[in-house]
Amino acid sequence: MSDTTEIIDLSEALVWQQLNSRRLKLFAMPLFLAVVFGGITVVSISSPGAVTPTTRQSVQRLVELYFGELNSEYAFALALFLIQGPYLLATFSSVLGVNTGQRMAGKLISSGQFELLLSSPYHERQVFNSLLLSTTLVTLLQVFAFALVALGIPIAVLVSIGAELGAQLNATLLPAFLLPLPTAIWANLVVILGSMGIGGNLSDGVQELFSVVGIVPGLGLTVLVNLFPNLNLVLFSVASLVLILCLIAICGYWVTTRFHAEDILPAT
Amino acid sequence: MTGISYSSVTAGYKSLRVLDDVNLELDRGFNVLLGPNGCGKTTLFRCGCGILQPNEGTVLVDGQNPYEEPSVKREVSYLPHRPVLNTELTVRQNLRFWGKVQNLPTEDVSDRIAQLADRFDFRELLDRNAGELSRGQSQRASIGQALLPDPSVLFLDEATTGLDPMIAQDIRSYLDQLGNTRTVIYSTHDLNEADDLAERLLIMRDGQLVFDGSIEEVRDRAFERPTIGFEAVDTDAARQALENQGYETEIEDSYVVVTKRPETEMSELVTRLARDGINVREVKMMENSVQSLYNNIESSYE
Repeated sequence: MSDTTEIIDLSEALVWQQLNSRRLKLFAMPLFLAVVFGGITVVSISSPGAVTPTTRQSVQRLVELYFGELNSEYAFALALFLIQGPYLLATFSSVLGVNTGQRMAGKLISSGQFELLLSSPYHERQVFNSLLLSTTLVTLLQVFAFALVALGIPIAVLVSIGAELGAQLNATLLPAFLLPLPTAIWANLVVILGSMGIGGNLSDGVQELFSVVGIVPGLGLTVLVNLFPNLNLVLFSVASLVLILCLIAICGYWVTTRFHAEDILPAT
Repeated sequence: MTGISYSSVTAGYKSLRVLDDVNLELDRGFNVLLGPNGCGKTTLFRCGCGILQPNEGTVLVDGQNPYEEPSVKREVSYLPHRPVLNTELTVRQNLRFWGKVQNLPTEDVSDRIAQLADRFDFRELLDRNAGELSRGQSQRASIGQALLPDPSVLFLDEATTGLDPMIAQDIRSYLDQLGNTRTVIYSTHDLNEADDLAERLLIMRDGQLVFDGSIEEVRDRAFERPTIGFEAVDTDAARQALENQGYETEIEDSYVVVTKRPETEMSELVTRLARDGINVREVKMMENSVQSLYNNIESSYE
């Protein structure tokens, strides 16, 4: 069996384990986040004075470009939410990635199951890569659930009130929809390394830094998009993708060449 | 039939050397590994399972290095000292997960789970959540999980440590027959348990193997210098009489305890005491053979 086949086989087993152990609880957090965030966005946009005239004009132009003219304040809010959608997905992909990565990797390591996986017929780097692949897949499943609610409902509402989904929407936002994948990989990679204590024994406070580092790329995207609504979204998305992929490649290279079980197992 | 060999193995964690030039060859049978905490037992197991790469030397399972050829790890199973079942899954799901990890065909896994559940008496636990099980129940299920791929080499790391004595005896009754068909390496701190289970005894200290022999050899060596207890009507007089003959004595319960010299027969010792007017009620071996050997080794390091 090739290296890739073995990684996929072990990842499949780990995903199976997660789906069977957490079941519907896996989707509780993403659905909760989708409802809460969507609600906050709609309420805040609809509140008088919540958006400055300058920002409103910029956003209005974008909304008309993507959806045509909208006469409803709620529709405007939903449209704004949709424009940010891919970047929200990237943010929540990071947040969910950190949560899932810590949960899966942390539980495997603290329970001793990770050591047992190292004794199974895989090389230690295959075990690491399988753990990363499986946590990322579970994260993306959660992101999909989030997207179904956070983006699917607004799209359905806008279409029902006569908004036109312009061709600009697809062309401009498509690169952005690629962002959740690398942000999910980055978040999971960083927290798995933190859970393994890579770099030595870390205090709880320092370990939390790994969580922050995991979230930063996704969160940063949404902040920038909101601070600079006139950004060229295509260029911004492509640049963000390239940057995050470079970070993953550097980290991945380090793991591939330096990772050894002796670095993470307790000396006994 | 698969065996395991360690050739001049030195291993550890970063700058900490734990195993020091270990040489060992094991074939089918029940091998018990004794040693104090921190002597390297778990590290020895990890090298045998291909979890750790030795810094020097080679570990071979059936002629292949498990660290460099992971496929040979299918022949090896490792049971750590605490149960490692996922507490959010049922016992059956835990075993199914392990079958997937080992890439076993699904239909074979179901049959195998049923067989192991009957053999280790956890059939009624299969559909219970692993988090609800007692320690003994978890351990039985974990043994089943370790045997799921039908390994030729089985490492059991303190499988009964921390268990209630009755439950530990229960677990031992399941383990007893395992050495008939595979190579079992079982680590323990319990000298009585080692005496009961071992076909071959290995003793480690400070990362080195200080004894490696069959249980018959152990018993022969122990018989040369057994620790004997004399229960007498007058304990103080018996103690004095033995000290007059040059023995160092201790009192344990109501027994005067000495280490028999190889040149003196037991019957002669009892005769001398009787000549001194000591009325001896009972004579017994105070240590089992493993205990005696282990204590002799430990005392040589003090």
